[in-house]
Amino acid sequence: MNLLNFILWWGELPLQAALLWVLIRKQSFRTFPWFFAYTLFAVIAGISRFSVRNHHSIYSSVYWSTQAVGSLLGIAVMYEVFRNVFRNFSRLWWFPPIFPLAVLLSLGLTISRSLSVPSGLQSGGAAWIVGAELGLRLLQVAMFALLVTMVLLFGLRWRQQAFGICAGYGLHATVALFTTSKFYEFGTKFKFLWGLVSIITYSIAVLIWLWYFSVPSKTEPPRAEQPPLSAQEMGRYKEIVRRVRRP
Amino acid sequence: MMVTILWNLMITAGFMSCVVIAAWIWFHFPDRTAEDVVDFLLPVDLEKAESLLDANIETHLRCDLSRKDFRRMQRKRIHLYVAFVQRMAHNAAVLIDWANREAEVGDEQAALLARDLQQLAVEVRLYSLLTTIKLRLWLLIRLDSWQVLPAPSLYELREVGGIFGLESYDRLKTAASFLFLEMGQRNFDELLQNL
Repeated sequence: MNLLNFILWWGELPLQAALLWVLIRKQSFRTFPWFFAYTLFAVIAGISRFSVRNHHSIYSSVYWSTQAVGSLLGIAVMYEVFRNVFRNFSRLWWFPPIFPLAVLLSLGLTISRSLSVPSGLQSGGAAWIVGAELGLRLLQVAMFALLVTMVLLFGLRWRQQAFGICAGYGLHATVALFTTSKFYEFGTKFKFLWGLVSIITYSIAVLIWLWYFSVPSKTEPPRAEQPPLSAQEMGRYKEIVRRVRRP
Repeated sequence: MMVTILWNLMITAGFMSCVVIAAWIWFHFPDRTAEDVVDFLLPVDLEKAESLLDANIETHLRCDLSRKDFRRMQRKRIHLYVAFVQRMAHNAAVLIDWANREAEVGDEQAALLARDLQQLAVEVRLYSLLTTIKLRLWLLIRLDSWQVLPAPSLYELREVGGIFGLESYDRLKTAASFLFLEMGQRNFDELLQNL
């Protein structure tokens, strides 16, 4: 492996470590505990993989087990983002089931896809992990598309950290899904290229997270369950407004 | 086949989202302050909107007019309510933009009011979206002209998707007025006239 390849394959590790440092410094584990856990795990997983990179069989076990845990943490992060971004809608009865429905639909589509286009993996465990990872990528793309729609329709703040988390995942997941599909079509012909593209976009995703968590932002205090401006508050405010309008 | 189409659609949606969000960030109104609110608002006559959703008025119209005339009148009333709802949606979008900024850079009190404003404005946007879809569908299939079915009632639109539209808009006006006062703006009457 030449130096450029080495940097490309392992360059994301220092970036991820920098992100972890920023998250600790800004105490973001208070607002996004699952994203913090994911980043911490990604750093530990990266170091583990790096340290066993020359032992093929150990690397394989470390790789697949860390991928499995990473996928589970990824779903938790997506739920955290969903709850954080859509708290304005939490009072509407039809909104909370959207996330579990999105997870089920992503899983359903992934299972159907796996049945129609087999991954070629012999090992049952590895096939399950790849399936779960594809399902997670699908969920991330769906969440990203949903958030972008929300930005357009409801003026959702694109500068908020939750959006940054989703944008990073969304970009990486879209490219990862695309390269996986092309991998199935073209076989191992472009294996190296697809892998490289995926790694580069993941590094871009980490850079997006770094930017979102580095710029100063206000943490929103938790909201009360009741709607803003209750009937009494409204009456009081309107009275004040009336008084202000009088010369 | 269906699975492949859905799969490819998801990938396309991902790429489209990247392009759309980049374009949105590029073309979006930069940092909307309290000075950039009043001139961008479109006045909404809430009393007139209220009268469109009044069940009594609609019942009177139904009784006083011939069936054909009522259906024609109802179509015009639907068009008028679409216009009101679109103005409400536009104003809510302007206010969200402003509230987003104040929630980020304003002091503690302003940020608190801005977050209330955001929440109410999002409610109004959601109501407007759902109501517009419903009304456009009525207009598309010309539900008002089908003799076999009763003409659609506008008062059904008082609550859509669990949101009371006009009440939410009224609260939105109050929240906007408060944030406006908090920001020390003098053209307060203009804001209320334009909302």
